[in-house]
Amino acid sequence: MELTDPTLKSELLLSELKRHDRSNNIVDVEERRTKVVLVTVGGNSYAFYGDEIREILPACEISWVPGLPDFLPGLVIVRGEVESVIDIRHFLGGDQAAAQTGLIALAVSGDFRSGILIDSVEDVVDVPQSSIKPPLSTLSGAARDLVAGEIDLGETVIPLLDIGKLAARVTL
Amino acid sequence: MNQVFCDGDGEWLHLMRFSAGGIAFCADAGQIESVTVFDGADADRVVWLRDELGCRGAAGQGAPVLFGVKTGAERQYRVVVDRMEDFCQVACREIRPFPPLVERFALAKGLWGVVFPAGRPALLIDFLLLARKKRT
Repeated sequence: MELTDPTLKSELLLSELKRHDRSNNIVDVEERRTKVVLVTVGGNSYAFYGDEIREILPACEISWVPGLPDFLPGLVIVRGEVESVIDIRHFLGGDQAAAQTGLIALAVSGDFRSGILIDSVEDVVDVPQSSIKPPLSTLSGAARDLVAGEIDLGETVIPLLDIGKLAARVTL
Repeated sequence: MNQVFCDGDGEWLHLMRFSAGGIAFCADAGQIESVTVFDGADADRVVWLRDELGCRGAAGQGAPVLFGVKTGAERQYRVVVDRMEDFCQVACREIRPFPPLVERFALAKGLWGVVFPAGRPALLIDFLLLARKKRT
């Protein structure tokens, strides 16, 4: 019968040091992550920063108001408060068919606050900040003005919309 | 003076409720001097509210009603609405201003807020503001 040598204290210490070092390395490479809300608008996929979307409202009646421009279909009432609604497809293009039947993302950025018509919410995910790239120059003009960047999700690249830029656009 | 009056204690606003082009409106009852069924007389001297605001909806049932609006001048501002509903009162604190994004467009049409008589939203219109905006 063969006897095994007892583990030396130096071996234990070295092993522990290496484990600790690996753990540190893992912390070092852990990137900051950003929460994003993936939505579809006009049949296309887009993302919003999660901290700019206060809530998703179910399909509800939009009250038309005389004199509003095309990108403002009207108002919705949310727990007794009156919120504006933006039809972002006016800027992004895409299918305009279901203008009054989608969901509404309630967006807040600084002093700006408004509902935004969307078709659906696909997911809410945390993405590494490194996956957010500058917007491609191939984006069409109007959409490019609203985009903060593009998110590389591996299989697909999704434009990340900037509520601040949208606010600047609609309050001109 | 273009002003909406609440009653003595400042808490209530007395409103005329009506519709035009499928949209529910309310106006300060104090602005309206006369209410008559519109028989088509002096048609060239009246303003149809639904046309003035570009309302796209159907008129619905009911007889058009002519409002004579006090202007402070000798001549009334005469506005035809599709249908008169009733008088109501709302607490001033229940008036909701338009969101900032909407307000500048709404004010240009004489609209200044939203109220909820009978549980449904109605747009508050100031006829004098509408007349003034039209002039400018």
